[in-house]
Amino acid sequence: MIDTKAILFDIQRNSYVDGPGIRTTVFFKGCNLRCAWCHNPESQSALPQMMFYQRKCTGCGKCKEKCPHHLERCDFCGRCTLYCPQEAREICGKEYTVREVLYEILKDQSFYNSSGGGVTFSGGECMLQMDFLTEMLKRCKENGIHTAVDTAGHVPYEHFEKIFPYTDLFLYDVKCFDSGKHKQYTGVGNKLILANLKRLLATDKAIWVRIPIIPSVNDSEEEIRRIKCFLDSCKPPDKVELLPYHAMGEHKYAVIGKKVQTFSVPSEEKMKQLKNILS
Amino acid sequence: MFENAKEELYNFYLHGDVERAKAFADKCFARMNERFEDGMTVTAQKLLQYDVIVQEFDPVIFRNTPYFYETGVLTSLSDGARSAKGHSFVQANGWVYERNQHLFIEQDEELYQKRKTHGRERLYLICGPYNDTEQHFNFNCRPFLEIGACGIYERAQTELSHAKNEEEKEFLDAVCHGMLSLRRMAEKFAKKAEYLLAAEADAACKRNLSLIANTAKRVPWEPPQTFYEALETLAFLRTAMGSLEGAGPNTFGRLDKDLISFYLADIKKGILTRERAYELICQFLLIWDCHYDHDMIMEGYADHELENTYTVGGCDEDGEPLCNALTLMFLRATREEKIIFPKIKCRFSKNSPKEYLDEIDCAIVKGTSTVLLQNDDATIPALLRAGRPIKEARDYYISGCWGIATNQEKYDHGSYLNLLKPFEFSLHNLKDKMELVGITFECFDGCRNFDELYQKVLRNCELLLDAKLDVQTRGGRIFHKVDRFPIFSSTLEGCLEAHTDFTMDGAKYRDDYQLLFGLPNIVDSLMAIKTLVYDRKSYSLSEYLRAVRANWEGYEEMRLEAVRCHGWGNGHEASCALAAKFNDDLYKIFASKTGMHGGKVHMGHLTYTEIRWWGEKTLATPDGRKSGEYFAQGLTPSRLKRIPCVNDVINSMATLDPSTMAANSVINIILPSNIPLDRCEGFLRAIADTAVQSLQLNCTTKEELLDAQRHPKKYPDLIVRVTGFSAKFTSLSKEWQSEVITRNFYD
Repeated sequence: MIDTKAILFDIQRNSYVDGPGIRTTVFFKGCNLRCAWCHNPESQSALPQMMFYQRKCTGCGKCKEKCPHHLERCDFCGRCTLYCPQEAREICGKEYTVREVLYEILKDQSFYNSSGGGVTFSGGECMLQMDFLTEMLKRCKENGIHTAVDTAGHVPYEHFEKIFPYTDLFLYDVKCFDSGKHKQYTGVGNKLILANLKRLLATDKAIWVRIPIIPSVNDSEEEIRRIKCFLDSCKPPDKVELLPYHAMGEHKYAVIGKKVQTFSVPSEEKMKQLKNILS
Repeated sequence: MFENAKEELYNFYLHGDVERAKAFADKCFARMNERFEDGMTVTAQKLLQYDVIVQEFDPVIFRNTPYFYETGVLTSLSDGARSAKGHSFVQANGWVYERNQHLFIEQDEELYQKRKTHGRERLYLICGPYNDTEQHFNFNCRPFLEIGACGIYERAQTELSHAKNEEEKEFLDAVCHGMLSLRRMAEKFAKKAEYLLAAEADAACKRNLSLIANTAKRVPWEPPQTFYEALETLAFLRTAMGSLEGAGPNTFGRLDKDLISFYLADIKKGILTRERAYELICQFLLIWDCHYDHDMIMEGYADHELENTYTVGGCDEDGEPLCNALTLMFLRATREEKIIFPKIKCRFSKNSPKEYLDEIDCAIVKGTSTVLLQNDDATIPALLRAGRPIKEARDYYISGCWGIATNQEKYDHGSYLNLLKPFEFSLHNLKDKMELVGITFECFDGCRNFDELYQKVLRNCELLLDAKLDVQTRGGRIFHKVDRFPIFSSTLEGCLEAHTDFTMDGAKYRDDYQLLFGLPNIVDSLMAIKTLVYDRKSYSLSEYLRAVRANWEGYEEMRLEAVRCHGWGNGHEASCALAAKFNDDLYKIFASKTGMHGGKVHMGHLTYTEIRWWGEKTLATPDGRKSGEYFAQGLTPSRLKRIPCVNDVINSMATLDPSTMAANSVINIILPSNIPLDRCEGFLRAIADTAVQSLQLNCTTKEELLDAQRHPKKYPDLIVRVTGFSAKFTSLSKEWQSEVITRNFYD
């Protein structure tokens, strides 16, 4: 339905890292994994959150003055964000209808057409809000827009089957091959994830497998070889991408009041070495 | 590469050029004054100027380049204009003008005073007393490439038999005289090269000198026969014409289109290789680029400018995309040699080949943005609506910083109309200023509804335009009594056939081009007033005006509300609709006027460095801008508006009608560094479907620019598009760096 709702935390237009061409990436709020390196920690909770950028705040007190509850509690009315001259406050997560998101997506149709791009649904885990996702995908296809779904795959396989008719591309994350380590760093094992991937690869859907490279977690040659071995046992994906860890999300942990776990950034040489294993 | 040539060129251009040009001017002025006779016509005076300069100049030949062109008449930064840029003297090529310019004042001293006052109060800017008399000369090189100076001489001779009166005869005789002057100049180069050759020991230099000695005997009198000779013809004519005419030839035209037949013929004959052609192109570009010290700090109005441009790409007369071997070689040479001058203008459209767009993007995404992109899909419709036939429209090129030009007119741009001034005078109720400039603009106080206010804004724009056209028409018509340009005129379509100079309206078209300044800030201001005063009724108009008049001091909250209102470029329906209406209404006004030469009046949206100078001298505006803050360039969204996605800007541009802007419009966009070429290509193709005409695209980030400010040595090759030209970022003054850094950056 056009008025189906979901909580999203961002609609990023003019994106070019989540699939082919110029894309709009719709970020769903809520995730069933807790990756230790997550660069969007604000995506994990399914509910709206107040983000407070301490370094921007000059202590002028406008937020407190304008807040109906004087900052003692928050009902996400947004008045404090509107009146903060330093833009130190931001609400993360807002309810959108399919109609509203479609309106945003359709704005850039000429960019998709000119670049072979489209829309990518990401997160969080977009496949946790299936009604909304399915309706969105359907509407996008009706408008001739290329669709991609970016998932960690920890959902029932039936979810994939539900959106097959409207999905042109899956961006599928494989984080670790060892299920124990997977659980240690993401909070869940990977049996379901790998099983879903295997079934998905057996279909005729376009699939890009994406492996985040996190030093000291999954950057060993052995790890990548095991993933390659698994992929070799399946119908080959259209593309396998290695995504180096970056620290750009680290500052967000403090903004939402969470403790950050830091990782180093893999060297270019390391990335090249790991890529060679896959080639 | 080409280190010897660069060293030799820099030694000449960066040392003693001003003293040299001044001494030469003094010597020539004395000779010309001696030979001046009472009763000489202006044309006769011009021929005297030609003769003395040809006689007195000493050709400068560089052993390490194959090109001859340097006359030593002008300063290094001179583009042919008579004024020595940055210095108070007039060069030898300005003798006639200097002698007669008093006529501009004496014809009507009151009018002259009025025009000066208008300029001082920044109502408009004209590069000259009433019109642009020394720059933006749209030199058409094609007749020299096709038939040579001798062919033009013969055409003038043929026309002489049809001359209807002495004046026509005098013009045609002057054209012949001009062509012979060019021939004599070239012959002096031939002799000098022969002289130097006798003493030259280095083999490579000998080859260059021998080539020059042989070529200068024929070219440009005879049309070029080879690719090298064609490039040589262009190099020579630019400097020779600048030296003789006192006019800045602003363009080499469409180099890839005009030179491809020479290139292909040479390749076919086996006398040229692709590698040698590339080398010749690099050397051709370097002789201009080395006129200038790229590390010199830019402080002033146009001190980083060398008005020397050419255009590549686009389409042919049948509308087919044009991208040949030379197109790619010119782009590659610009990128590899980091050429800033001559300025390269790249025409593109949604049908441009991928390899062409990739070659352009390759330099931009690496942070060496020396390219101006010009969208055919928004430019050709404007030329058609302006009345140009389709083949002419498709054959346009970019002259100067960003003027749309064809070969049928002088191209009288360089004339900016500051729409923000009447806005400021009315808004701040500056009655004394209105009295000073002699224009009574309608004040906004008491407007009962938005439409009433909007109509006043529009009416004020018309009052300003009328005032400017009146001053220009009454004052500028006597240009032909001050100076004549026989060599230049002979290259424009129409003058030889009409037997008259372009200053006597000889060229095929004589339209006026008015470049507007202020649309984004005016639209944002109107949106803020409409939203906060008339729609939401948060404030009364008088309260709102009081805040603006107080430079927002004590009204910070109101100012933030104003900034947060929808504005130009954010893609919102209301702001797009208002901008489109304002633009269309302006077009209707401009289309109803007659220009100073009886032609049409065309409009566009752009300015030069005035975004700073005029911004610094304009009081607060209702969009939340404080007094003295910089304005937006052309149709670029205001820097006050935080527009997170560049696509909103482009989608906003899609709501304007490009055919209304025959004088060209520009927009600045900064994308992140090192974005993938595919994205850049897709972005340009999407842009092609909108009203974006000139695009100044940089690929960098605010962080990178701030770091470059702190550690300039780390960024020796970071080149940015500034405003009609490119420069090394580290060579910009702090103020100019700040102008770039405060622009909108997009992810």
